[in-house]
Amino acid sequence: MPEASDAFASIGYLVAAAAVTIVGLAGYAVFLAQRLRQARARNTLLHRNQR
Amino acid sequence: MRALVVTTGLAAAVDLAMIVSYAPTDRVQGVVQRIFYFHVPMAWVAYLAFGVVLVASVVYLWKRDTRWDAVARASVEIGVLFTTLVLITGSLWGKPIWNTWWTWDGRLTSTLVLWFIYVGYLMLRAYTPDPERAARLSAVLGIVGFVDIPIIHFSVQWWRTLHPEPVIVRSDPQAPPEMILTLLVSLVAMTLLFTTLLVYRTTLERTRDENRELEQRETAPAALDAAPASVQTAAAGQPHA
Repeated sequence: MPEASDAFASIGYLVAAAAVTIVGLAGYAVFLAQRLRQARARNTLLHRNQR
Repeated sequence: MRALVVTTGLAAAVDLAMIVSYAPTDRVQGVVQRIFYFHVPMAWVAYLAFGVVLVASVVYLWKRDTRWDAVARASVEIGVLFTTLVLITGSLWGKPIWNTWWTWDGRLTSTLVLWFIYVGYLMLRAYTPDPERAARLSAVLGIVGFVDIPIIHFSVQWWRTLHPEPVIVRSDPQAPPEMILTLLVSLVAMTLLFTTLLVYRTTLERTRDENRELEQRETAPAALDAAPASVQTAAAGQPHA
């Protein structure tokens, strides 16, 4: 285990993995909420046009 | 849906606190071993997501109900996200432990193949113009693609690999109870997150489907106005003059 014994490098890999996970999941959730808001706004507009 | 979001948030907060302060540090690998608490649950969620795709695809082909197709489409996207994160976090764990970012062994290669299969699914959906045909073809791919999951799971037993065999799911778990409890909480938190994302992503697909129907209804009378008189009378059910 070449770098696992180096505590500083070990923390670096852990922080990088945690950051990728949190940014990836939170980023996707925000992106999803934005797309859902746009689709709902379009849906309201289309319903209004058809009335 | 709000209750689901709040529960997921609470579970994620408890899970993070346990990973940081409750789980013991591994004697051999050191602090980097804590990647285990999100790498393994994300792999589980990826399996679960593609399992949902399998079930939704089978039901769609059987009943031809577009709601099941929407569930499959939603679950594939989430499954690809989790598989991507599994590959990245695995690589970040492999570098300090195996001294390599990547190796072409059974577990890693079959996981990469899984990623390609479901990215192919998303491409198939995006580039097939006829929605009914896209749904049918991708349902078949969603079912066939699932075959890779047992291959991934048993790859560590079938082939010689750098990736470790299961340490928890066995008759004599090779980990202390604090590690097992933290992993279980992580599994619950990730599964809740997957459920929340799936509910919202399916709602998005259903809203988009409804929007497409409304748009077609809106453009149909306009197209009829622009058509020649003979077409208009035929469409209105009138005999030709």
